[in-house]
Amino acid sequence: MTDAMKTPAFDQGRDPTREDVLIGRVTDGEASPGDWTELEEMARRDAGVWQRLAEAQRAHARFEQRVEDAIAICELVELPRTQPGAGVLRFGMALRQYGGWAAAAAVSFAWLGVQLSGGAAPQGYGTGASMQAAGPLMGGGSQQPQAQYVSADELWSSYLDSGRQSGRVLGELAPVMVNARDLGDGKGTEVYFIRGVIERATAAEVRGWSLRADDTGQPRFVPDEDVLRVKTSGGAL
Amino acid sequence: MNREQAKLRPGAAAGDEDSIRALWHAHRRWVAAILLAHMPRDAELEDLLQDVAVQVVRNIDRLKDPAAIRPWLRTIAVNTARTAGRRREVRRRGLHLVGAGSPGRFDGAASAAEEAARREAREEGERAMALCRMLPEEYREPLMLRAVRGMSYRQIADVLGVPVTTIETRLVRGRRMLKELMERDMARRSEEAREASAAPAKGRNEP
Repeated sequence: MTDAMKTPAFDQGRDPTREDVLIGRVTDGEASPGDWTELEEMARRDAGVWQRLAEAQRAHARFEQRVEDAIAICELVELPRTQPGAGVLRFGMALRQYGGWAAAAAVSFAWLGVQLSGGAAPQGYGTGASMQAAGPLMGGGSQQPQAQYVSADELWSSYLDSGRQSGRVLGELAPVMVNARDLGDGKGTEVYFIRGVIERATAAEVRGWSLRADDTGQPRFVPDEDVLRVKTSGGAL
Repeated sequence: MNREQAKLRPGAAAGDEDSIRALWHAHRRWVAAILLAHMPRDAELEDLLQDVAVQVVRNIDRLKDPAAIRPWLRTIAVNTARTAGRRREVRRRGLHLVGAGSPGRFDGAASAAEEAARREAREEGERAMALCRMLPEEYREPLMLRAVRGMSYRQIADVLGVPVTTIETRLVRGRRMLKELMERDMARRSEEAREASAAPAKGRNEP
């Protein structure tokens, strides 16, 4: 049942007055010069017209803002691409469905990449202002273990770059903000967002996909654990 | 909406991807408003938009009359929303990972009065949108479409396939009904608040 089916009773019988029509046109930016003249004439006889116009404009502005906020999401919805032999891929949906584990996997890969390479961070890492916000990663493979300070942004970029070069990373999703709060005193805004990556991989053995609850509690198809294990084992891919 | 963009480009019906994409970009905002007017409360607008997008790609070759693009898109949107209503299911919205507040807008350190005014405006807008969805369809749709910035009476009339004068009349009546609903809602809230504040006092006085 849609909400519309619970329609309350209204008085739909009364025809709009001329004032209603003119206020509507002005509010909607559809008033002609003649409409304005007529409204001004009315307002000379009844100054309350201006107040009713102001109320109508205010109510419309608030409603419009709310609708605009609600439909802003449409800017993220693109048409699906048609894949030869694969029908229509619901691109945005697919990204969203698998975004959660892809993002988690991406972070794991970035971390594993450093671990498996013996902690030798690429040239240039550990420099720059972003170090200040970085967490330490211990370089365990060198003769003289030393702390390598690498920022999350640097690791992320490195992972994406090398993934693109190898053909594993197909693209990165636009970050989705899930919450934010003003820190006050001009300190800025703390934002919480989700990042996701689309990857392509060849698995030695694919058992398939299972229907499970994702981290939002909704049912989603996700690759079986075995697939993920093959992916993260490093050598196979 | 750009008038040129909104036209059905010659390549769109033939399946040219760029043309279909341009068409989608020109129309998707008001398509979203139509979905808002018809979808069940717990549906996800983004999901439904995706469904509409899929239908557009699949069926664009069936659209023979370029002038009918708006009614055609509206029909897809309305059907998509109604289908979602039929298969309505309890869906738990799970993205409230941190806190319960809505992201809103952030303009730095606003004064308490400014923040209160902004919150009041936002809440009134939300109530209006929720109540608008209780109006009869013939009034709900034009109101939602008119709230999409840039939609003229003419364009709304094209989407709904009725004369401009009808749109104007429906908007006036729809706004009057919405105002009536808002006033009823406000009265109900005041009554509830009064009862809530009276209840503890009554409890204290009773033995």
